[in-house]
Amino acid sequence: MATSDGWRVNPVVEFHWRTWDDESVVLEARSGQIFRLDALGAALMACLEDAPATEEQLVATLAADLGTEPDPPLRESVAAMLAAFRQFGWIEPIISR
Amino acid sequence: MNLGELAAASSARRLRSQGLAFRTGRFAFRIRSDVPAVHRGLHLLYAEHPLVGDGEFCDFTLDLRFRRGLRRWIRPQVQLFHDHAALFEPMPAGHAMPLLEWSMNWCISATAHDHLVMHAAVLERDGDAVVLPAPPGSGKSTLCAALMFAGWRLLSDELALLSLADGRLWPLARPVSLKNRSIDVIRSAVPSAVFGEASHDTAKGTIAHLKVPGDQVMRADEPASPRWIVFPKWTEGVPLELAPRSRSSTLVQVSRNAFNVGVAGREGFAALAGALDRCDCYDLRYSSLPDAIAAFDRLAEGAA
Repeated sequence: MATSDGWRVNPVVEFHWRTWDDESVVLEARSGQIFRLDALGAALMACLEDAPATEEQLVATLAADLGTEPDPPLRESVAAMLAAFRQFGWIEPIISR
Repeated sequence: MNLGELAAASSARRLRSQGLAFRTGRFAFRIRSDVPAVHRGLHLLYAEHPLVGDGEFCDFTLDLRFRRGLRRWIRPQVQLFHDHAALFEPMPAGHAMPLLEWSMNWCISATAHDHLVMHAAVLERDGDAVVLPAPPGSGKSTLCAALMFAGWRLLSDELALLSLADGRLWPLARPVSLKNRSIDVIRSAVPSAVFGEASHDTAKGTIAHLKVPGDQVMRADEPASPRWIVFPKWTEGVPLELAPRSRSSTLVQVSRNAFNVGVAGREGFAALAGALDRCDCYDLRYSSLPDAIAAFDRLAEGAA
């Protein structure tokens, strides 16, 4: 049975970023989608653009960056953002067989 | 030579035959028409626009003619062709000038992909441009018309052209389209304002076009640098409020008001983001035109 080994950026997407203060805007060039992301969302995408990662790894990385514990609100935010990014087509699960 | 310097009979003859060719900012249009109202409208509203010489290239050629047959005489209709292809469905002959203006807008927004083309008004003072993106019904055109007579130079009331090459906004200096109550508002506020003939019962109600002052038309080759982006919203009885907004939300909102954001792609995104680097962004709520004009004056003074 196939299992997910985490998340990676969809290889066909092409991101262009602009950041002002604590907000970022991203263009996904192939679809033309433009979205506004808060600092957490932008940081999450930046992590995945660097390298594929599991949800647990992402929570740990972001918690360390924020100087906080990987608490339930952070876990929920990360889970919700991953679901949204998957719906946009920006990320895909890594499936091992 | 400008269009208005032609004798009326001569310009009417040209319009019916080889066409009247004139420049509006970076674009040259050749218009051919057998509709007398179109001749009257062009002769009045584009009087200071420079003619394009015979044999010179025109970006767009538009034919606006009466339909033949029954519809020439009974509830007469007109139809517009761009490079011999019908652009829109036939419309009542009384809507000829709005149809022409809408078609000119379409030509630019559908093809000027060396710019990011935004649905917005743009005006300039001292080299700094304010962009007013707004959906229909927000009072954008009325505000734009009022500012045009209050020390601001009109670049456009409808299409903001942000060059992908140099990041500046380029003028069109075409007549301002006003609707319904706005016509009387501006007539009262600016008794010297020159209007074309009103077209009634259009899809947007009554439309009349306001002539751009000649000194502003003559500067239609002068771009301006984006300095402010203001989203106006007229609401009866509200006090004036000019509230700062974030650049990120402004970029998203402006891109939704851009006709060719998909075509412009990465370059358009970069141009818009570059403009926002230099801009202060606001939401404006107002009910009084003089109050709104004063708010824009304060913006300009703050930049000086």
